[in-house]
Parts: sequence; C-alpha cells; structure tokens
Amino acid sequence: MTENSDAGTVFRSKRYTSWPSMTEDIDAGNLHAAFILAPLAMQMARQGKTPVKIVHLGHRDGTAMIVPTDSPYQTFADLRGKRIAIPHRYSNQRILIEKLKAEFGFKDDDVRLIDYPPPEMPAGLLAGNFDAYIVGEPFAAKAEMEGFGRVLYLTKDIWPNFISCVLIVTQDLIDNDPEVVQELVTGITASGKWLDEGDERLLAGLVMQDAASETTREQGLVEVPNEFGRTPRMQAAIIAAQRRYYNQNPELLKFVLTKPVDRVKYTELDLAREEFAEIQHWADKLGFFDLRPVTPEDPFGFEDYCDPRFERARIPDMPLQEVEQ
Amino acid sequence: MSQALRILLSFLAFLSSVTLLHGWMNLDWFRGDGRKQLTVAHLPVT
Repeated sequence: MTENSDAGTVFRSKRYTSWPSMTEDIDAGNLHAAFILAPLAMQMARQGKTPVKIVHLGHRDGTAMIVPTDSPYQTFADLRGKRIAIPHRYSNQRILIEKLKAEFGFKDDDVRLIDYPPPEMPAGLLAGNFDAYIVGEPFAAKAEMEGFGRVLYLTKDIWPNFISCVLIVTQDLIDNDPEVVQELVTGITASGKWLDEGDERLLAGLVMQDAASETTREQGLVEVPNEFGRTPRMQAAIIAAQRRYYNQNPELLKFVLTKPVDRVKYTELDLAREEFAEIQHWADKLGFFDLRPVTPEDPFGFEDYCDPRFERARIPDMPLQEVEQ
Repeated sequence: MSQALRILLSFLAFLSSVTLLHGWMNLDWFRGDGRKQLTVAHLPVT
C-alpha cells in the first residue's frame, strides 16, 4: 500500500496548505483522491467542475474548540459577541458552531466567524486575532501543549462520532480504475483497525531506536524512540510526523493520539446515510448549495455524493513485522 | 571550425555524458517498477 509494502498500488501522500489549492488541482485533473472537509466535498459534488464521490471516512472526532488558557470562557454561552476562527466556510466545524448557536439561543450575529488557515490558528489565538478557534488536530493540541490554549470542547463530547474530513475520489477514477479505489478504501480501513485495535508488532519500515544500526539506517528504516513505546498509535505518530506527511513534532502527534486516547478514532469509518443527511441538512440551510439550489426538480441526496460500494470488501492484512525486535 | 563552436560542442558533449551516466546509474529513470501509483492529497489536519 505504500513504499514499505511489496505489492499493490503505491499511494503517495501530497500535503497541501489550503483547501482551494487542493480543489483547483482536482479541477485541473492533476489529482484524483483527497481527504477533504465533508461539506466541501458535498459542495464539490453538487456544483464543482469535477464529479467526485465520497468513498470512505479517514477518522472520526479529532476536532476541538480552543480558548485562551487565562480566559473566563467556560461554555459556548460565554462566547456571545466574540470572534471564532473556523477552518473553512464549507466545514463541518462551521456547522457545529451553527448547531451550538441554535442550542444556546444565539442570534446570527452573536458570534463573528472568521475563515482562518488551520496551521496558523494557534498563533492567531496567541496574537489575539480571535477569541476562540475550532479545528482538526493537531492544531488544537498545539495551543494546549504549548500552554496558551485550553480545550473548551472536544467534538467527541458534543457531537459524538464527528466527521471532519472524508476521502473523495473523482468519478473518473471510479469509472476507469475501481480496483485502485477499492485498494485505497480497504487499506484505510485496515490502517484504522490497526491503529485502534492492533498489537505491538512493528509496521514494516520501522525499527525501535534501541535496535537501530548502521544497516537499518542504510535501509532507510524509521526509528521509533524507545520512550514512545510500540503501540500502533505511537508508531503512527512517528510515521505521520515525517516531512512527507504532517511535518510536525512527533511529541505533538503523540499528545493528539493519547490525551485522551479517544480524542480521535479510526474505526467506524463506513459512510452512514443518516449522518450525511444531517450534514447535508445544515449545509443546505447555510446556503452551501446556493449556486445550484436543491429542489424537487433538481434533487440531491446520499447517492449523488457518496459511493459506499468499496466498503464491502475483505480487509487486507497490514504489513507488520513478524519477528519481534 | 571556430574556437567558440569547439568549446560549445565540447560542453554539450560533457553535459550529455554526465546526463547519460547519471541516468544509467539510476535505472529507475528508464524502468518503471510495474506498480500502479496514486497520489492522495491532504492538509496536515485531521
């Protein structure tokens, strides 16, 4: 599944810094698979230039609302009249804020929402550019770990099984190479199952620091610090921290994956019709489809933006090392 | 043949030989590994 497996498709990761540059690459035909915000994926399926389908989730939860550590805010009610940064106007984080506004009886202009690039949110909070922010990890944990931010809410506590990003592929890829889509989806399912339920065998391409040698370095094996241990989540923190993936401090990813351990989860990744119906309801209510309104004559539903057929296949084995190091 | 042309041709020959030598040493330039590839995009956020 990656350079470290010896069979199948090689899936390469490409890191973007903004959603528009990603959607532009999809529309230009340069990109056929991406993890993207769920409502943005729906909006693309509804009125984008390139037909796309959601084929799987990448994770659940893993989003938090952060306020300054020394602020008096204890609940969402305390944010009346404040500025809140969101990752994108077509994000589920914005929908969550709108749900909270309804729950706490806020009027539309009781909070000001600001689109802000996720990697810059911690610095924005520190600079006082806004009073709170909501974002996917690790940029919530970053402020918490550095001491100037604290969690007001973890999504798992206010919208259990929260969906942030989903895996989309182009309809072109589905039509022309369904096998590769199948391999990608089952690979993600297998990775998630390993992350949440796996044992302490090391993944191919990794070596514990105390077993590393000149030979393993020449082989390009990635070293797992002994203090991290060998649980799947700690192995994942080391892999994801690499420059080609998240390019983040491994300690930050360790924090995200363990404090608490259900801060983000990687199972139950199948597409659930009723969950997407709720997201679509809010997306419609907030005008995400205004350029092509949903009407009885021009309907829009689960089958128009989701294709769950790839979730029914057998889950492959992960490339784990059989021999204990 | 002028001196300038000789120098230019020598330089081009040098560049070609370096390119070919480098390509030969990195056979991946000329030979795929037979595995399909797909790029998957993401932002550094969950």
